[in-house]
Amino acid sequence: MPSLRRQEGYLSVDHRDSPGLPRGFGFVPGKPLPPSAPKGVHVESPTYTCAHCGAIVWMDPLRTRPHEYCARCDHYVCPTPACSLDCRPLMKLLEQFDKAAPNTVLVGPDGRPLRKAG
Amino acid sequence: MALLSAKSATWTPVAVADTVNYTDNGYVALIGGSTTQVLKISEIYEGGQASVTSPMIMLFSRDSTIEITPTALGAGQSLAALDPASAALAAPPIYFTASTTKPQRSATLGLLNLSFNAWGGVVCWKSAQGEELLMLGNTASFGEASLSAYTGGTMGLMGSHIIFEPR
Repeated sequence: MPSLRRQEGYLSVDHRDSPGLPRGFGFVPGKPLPPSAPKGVHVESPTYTCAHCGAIVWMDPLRTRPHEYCARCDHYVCPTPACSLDCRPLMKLLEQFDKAAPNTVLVGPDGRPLRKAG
Repeated sequence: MALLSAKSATWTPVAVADTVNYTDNGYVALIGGSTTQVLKISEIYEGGQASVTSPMIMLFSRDSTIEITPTALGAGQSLAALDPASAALAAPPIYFTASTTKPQRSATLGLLNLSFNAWGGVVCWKSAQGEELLMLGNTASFGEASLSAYTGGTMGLMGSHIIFEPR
């Protein structure tokens, strides 16, 4: 059985020679979380790509709760309610779009129409 | 398909809120070359070049309003294949930093938070194979994505590149 670790990307924030970021800096409600990287610190951590919306989630090594996971598509998903509730893989949407006839309208990951040009 | 690198050697972001017009040369963005083109982004790099402390909230995000009539790239900016033997695409994707109609960052489709201090800070994100950031077509909000600064912080000089593969 393949490991979920195969899905992990890599994020490096190197502030070893920099004043770094103030504590809590970069947090914007509704946006992906930034890693906490103060002065003199080099953060290296895994990331994953939400299979449903495509957002990148930083995997905080200090987090103890499990990350959100969709058993139907066997992928990590981001913590937003829309992605946690229903299984709508982005790759599947792309395949549908590829096969769709011209002028077909699909629903994009943000709920907006995605029209294939005629 | 070939890997391409969209590079800006040196630029200063201009901080804007979501769904507000970007300022020319204060962001970098990619848009698909056709209505069906898929772009798979596998790496984003930011290297700080500022000489004073410049903590910046850098977001890579889909755009809810896309550009119209992009301006040609200037000095220090390029979109080039990593492999010199790559064949030219019939509909190449467009890398731009200015346009007549300005793009706007989506309020809900932020993809990656790459906040850093441009005074000596270096940030790099790489995807796993098969887990790349995906873009589709050349319309909102799936066909264009940008690297830009969110309001707050102090803007400073930086360089960046985005490595991606059109399909």
